[in-house]
Amino acid sequence: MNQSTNTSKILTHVFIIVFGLFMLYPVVWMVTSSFKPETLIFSSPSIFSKEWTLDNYTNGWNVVRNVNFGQFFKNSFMISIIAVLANLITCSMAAYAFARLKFPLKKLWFACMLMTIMLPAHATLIPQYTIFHNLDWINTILPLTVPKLLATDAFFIFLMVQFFRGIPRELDESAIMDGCGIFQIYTRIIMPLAVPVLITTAIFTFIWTWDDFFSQILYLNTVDTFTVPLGLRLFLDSQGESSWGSVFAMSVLSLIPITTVFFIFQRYIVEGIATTGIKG
Amino acid sequence: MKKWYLFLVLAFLTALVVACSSDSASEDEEDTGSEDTTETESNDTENDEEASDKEEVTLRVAWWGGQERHDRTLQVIEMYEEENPHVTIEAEYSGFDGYFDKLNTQLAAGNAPDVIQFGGNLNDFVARDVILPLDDYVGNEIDTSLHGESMLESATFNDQLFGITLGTTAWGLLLNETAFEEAGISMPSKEWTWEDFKELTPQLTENLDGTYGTGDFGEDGFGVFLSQTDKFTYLDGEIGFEAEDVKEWFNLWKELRESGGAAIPEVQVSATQTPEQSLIVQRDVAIESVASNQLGAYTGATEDEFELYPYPSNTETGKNGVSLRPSQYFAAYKDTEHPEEAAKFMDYFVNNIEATEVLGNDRGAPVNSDVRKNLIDQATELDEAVYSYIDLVSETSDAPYVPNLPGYNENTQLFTETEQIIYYEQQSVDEASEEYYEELLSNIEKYEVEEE
Repeated sequence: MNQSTNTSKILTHVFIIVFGLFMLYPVVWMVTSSFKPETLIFSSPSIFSKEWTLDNYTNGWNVVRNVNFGQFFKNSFMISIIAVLANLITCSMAAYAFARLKFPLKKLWFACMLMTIMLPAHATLIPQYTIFHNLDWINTILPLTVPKLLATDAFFIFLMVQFFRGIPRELDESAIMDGCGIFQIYTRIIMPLAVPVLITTAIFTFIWTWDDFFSQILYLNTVDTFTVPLGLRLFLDSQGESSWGSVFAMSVLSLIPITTVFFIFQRYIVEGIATTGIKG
Repeated sequence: MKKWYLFLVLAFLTALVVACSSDSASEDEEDTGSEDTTETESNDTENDEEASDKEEVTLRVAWWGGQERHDRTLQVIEMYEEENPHVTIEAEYSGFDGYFDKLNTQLAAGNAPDVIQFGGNLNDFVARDVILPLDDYVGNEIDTSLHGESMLESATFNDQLFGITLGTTAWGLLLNETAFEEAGISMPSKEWTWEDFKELTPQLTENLDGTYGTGDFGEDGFGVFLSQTDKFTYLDGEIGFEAEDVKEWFNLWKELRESGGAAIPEVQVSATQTPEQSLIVQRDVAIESVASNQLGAYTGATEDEFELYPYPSNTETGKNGVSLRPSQYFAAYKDTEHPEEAAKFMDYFVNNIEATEVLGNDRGAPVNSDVRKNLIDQATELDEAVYSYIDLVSETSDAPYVPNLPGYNENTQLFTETEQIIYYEQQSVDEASEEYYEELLSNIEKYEVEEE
């Protein structure tokens, strides 16, 4: 009995490990390729190489004249951090209003908000661009950050509304008994209890903003305002000469912040799922 | 108490806005602000010392490319700014991904750059009436007297010139010399025929392990094939070929696949346009059709030696059908505020000897014949191979330049689908070719109407 469960356990683990390695292979390939001389990357695509070099990193870091990749990291961090903070504060406020407050036409506004999730981004692209152009915001980070201050990420509002609804109303009521107003309920009751959903929002906002390509290329024109995803594309010309080695090298570097953020906060995600599980 | 909190949060939010805008606002003054300041400044300078009578101008120049192209182009821009101190150039460059999406949005919002790089799709943008005709500037700001006639023609629509060709390329075949050596087959003569080709490719497949003789030449190859019998796809509003020609082309490739010379469908469909991942670099095939200016990209991606060859020629006409083609253009935005300055910059970019020395072969062989001569004198081995190929083509071929079909993307898709239908024998070559021809005609009709 014991032995057969043991062997099946071993088998499962072997399977998981093999499968895991299989999934990891592209990443490992990218990392090792970033240390290979350019000519060997595609002609001998094995993980191991006869030659190792750091050229891709130095060439990649000094991407074009007068601008290096550090600038792109700085810009990306700037945009991502503002987006995260703004989303946390404004989306939670909007969600709190939808979950707890009474105001006229609440259902209609809620429906409107949900509709913005369903509206394809391409439909609003040109009007949006025109607005930002008229505001003279093109080639600044404003079009990428200011909208976040207005709780425009309806998905996160929706996520938070669902979470807030799960927090017992009795807590609000006893807080009112203790003399809390609407705003204090938000800061003293809802926010401390909503940490898991806030963490989820923070992680996803960070990753999505960090990885965003299209809106960044749209609104940023000159290379000194470029972000990491745009910087990576500078190496690539689908019809001509691309510096794949540098792309890989800089991609490896650009993965570091995302993975760090994920590993630091992932235990909170797990916690989030755990707590939402209990409440039912 | 409650209000106090509210105030704190509000203060924080405003701090955020200020924090993010103050940083970008300072950049603002340098970038977008420059347009405003130029006008006021120019007034000042006129009154002040050194009355430089030229108005301060900011030109926005957009292009796509890889690292190499960015570096070279930026260097030329710096040189230009030094020679023309009243001009500030804002370079807006990126990779190819998203370049045209962005441009389309900018055009829709009326905020496009002054000078824009286009590829073979220039005609589509001319049809949309967003490109500035350059005729008024030719002979004044722009000197096109030494530019190849066919290159000027390629950017001429309705008798108006819309673009300045940045480089010349030609379709050609890349032969993997290393693979030929390994197969123990000597390199063919550059005046080869399709018969030689049919004989040679199966031998390559046989003597090489896991490498096929040749990859399919695709739609571009079909265009060259038509030129060999003085036909063309579409020129000046006319279709220049028949369904029979399509059948002949696809039958040729079917024959090549059956003889073992051409790559099997499973390999062929994995082909990409990216040089580094192309079949020939991956050693899946020993011959592939490329544009001559890509030689560097292909050579750089592998340790194998490549050589450029013209297409095998038609035995009856003796023509290889290869024509000179423009690689990219610079064109000006129709609503640019400084058309003369834009024209001057374009002129500098293609005609100035020092500028073109910096640019080299990156966008193809220079269009100005004096410039080309100057470059050949100091070219690297690789560039020399490209230039001598361009020279070979201009000497051996009289094929005209045939621009892309109208509705380029859709028709390319159609060609690829037809190829795959034939690869997987869902239809016979004859049926598939006829269907292709019919659908192509209706596509072209559709786009013709749109363009009128």
